[in-house]
Amino acid sequence: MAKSKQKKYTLVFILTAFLMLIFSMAISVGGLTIPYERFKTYLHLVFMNQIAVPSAQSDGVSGLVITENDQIPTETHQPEEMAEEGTIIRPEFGTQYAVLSCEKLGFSVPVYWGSSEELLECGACQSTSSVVLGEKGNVVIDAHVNTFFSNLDQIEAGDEIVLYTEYGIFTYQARDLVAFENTEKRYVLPSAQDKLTLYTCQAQVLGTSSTRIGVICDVVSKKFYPVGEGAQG
Amino acid sequence: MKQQIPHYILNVIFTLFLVFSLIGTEMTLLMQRSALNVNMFRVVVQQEQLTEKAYDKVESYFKIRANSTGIPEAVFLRVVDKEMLYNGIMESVTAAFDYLDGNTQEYQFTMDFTELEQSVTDFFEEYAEVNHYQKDEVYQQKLQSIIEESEKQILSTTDNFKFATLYEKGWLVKIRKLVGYLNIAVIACIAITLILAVVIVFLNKSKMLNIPYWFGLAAFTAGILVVIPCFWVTKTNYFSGFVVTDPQIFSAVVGYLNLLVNRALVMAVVTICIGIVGFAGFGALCFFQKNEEK
Repeated sequence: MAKSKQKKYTLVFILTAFLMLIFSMAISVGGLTIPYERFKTYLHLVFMNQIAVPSAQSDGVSGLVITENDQIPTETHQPEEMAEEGTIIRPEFGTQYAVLSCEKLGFSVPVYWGSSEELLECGACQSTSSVVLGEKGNVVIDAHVNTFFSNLDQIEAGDEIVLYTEYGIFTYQARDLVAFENTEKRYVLPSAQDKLTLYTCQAQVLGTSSTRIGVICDVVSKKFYPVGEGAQG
Repeated sequence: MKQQIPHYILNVIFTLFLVFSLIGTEMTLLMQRSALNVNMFRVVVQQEQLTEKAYDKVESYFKIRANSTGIPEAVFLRVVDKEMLYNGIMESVTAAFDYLDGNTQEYQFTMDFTELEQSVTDFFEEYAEVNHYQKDEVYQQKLQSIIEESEKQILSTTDNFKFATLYEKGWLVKIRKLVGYLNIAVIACIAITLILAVVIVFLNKSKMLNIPYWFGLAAFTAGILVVIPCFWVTKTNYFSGFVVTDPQIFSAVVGYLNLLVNRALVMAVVTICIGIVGFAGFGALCFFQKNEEK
């Protein structure tokens, strides 16, 4: 009898432990549901980035993935069957998608899609608020005056500027040389007119200048590679 | 038996209260001893190598700026070293906690930039002398602008935990109020826990043997309730999804949160162990009593 009572007590104590755990969990879940629902959106916003560590292949900084591209054909030889219309490949932010070339000045500069301090270290940057090469509108490209655009001020009206991409070749001719304050946006804003705007800081002895110098170019030709040819040129 | 049921239910109810008062005590102690403790931030600075990350950021900034300003990064980096940044980081943490603890009326963090100012001024003067550059008003403006810009960048970089932003947005004021109530909250939680413990002792005064069981059960359950979410957060690496990917801020915030969860986990495991000791004590007492009865 005493043994059976002992067993019963043991069972009660064990069951109580499990019940206590289940009951406490139920209370906790119930009590935390309302605050969780309230803060869920903020939590998801703050901890939404599941790709926190930049790719090992990237030279990225602060989550930026910089991708160089040596597949862009820049040789003067062009396929005979180039079309005036074709498929435009919209690049990813931080990707080199074009090469800007000015034969007269003998420069060839990689052009990256997007603009950041890290990208400006690698080449010229095209503002993502401007149109992708091949689309109709204002293509806006800038670079540092002490590096890639050090001789931008030597471009003269009539000079030819060519932009090579994997999907086509886009030729422009310099029309106007302009100077404007960094607060003035009219040259870099989107426009209906097909044009290319190149700009950089005005060279200065010490410190940074608030004046920008630029070149406005008109489109001469837009040539797209036949489908499937692209980078093979 | 019938008399025992209400007694049992009362024990269960008060143990349940004890579970949550224990969790409350754990959490308030965690806030006081870790989350809002200056030493915790200092540990994160060391553990996450924030000084090295801050130096990399400053170095990269001055190298990049050299392209647009024409001022070599060495002008800045010959005076800005890891020691200076480490002191700055520690100063920013100290300044924040001086404000949070009510020692100062506003968050004020600054660093000694005398050497930096001298280095930039020397460079400008040397440049002006060599190139016969006129030291006019524009020259002074440029010099001042470069000094201010670089100081702002260094201050922003050393403020790893973004206390300045938290202060500007009013969050530090709210945390300061919270810190003021924290000691009261800790005392209140401990007092409630003790009162509940006394009530359980009183309920079991006729059967003291059961006391370790109820205490053990409360501690064990409280520990498990804290361990589960902490374990989930650790296992899923939840905080690594933090949206700010700047290496320095990411390490500071994620390192801080992970350390906090680890400490909560340790605290919860200790509580579970106390619970197990309670169960073991209860088992041992039952065993001895059984032997005595025999």
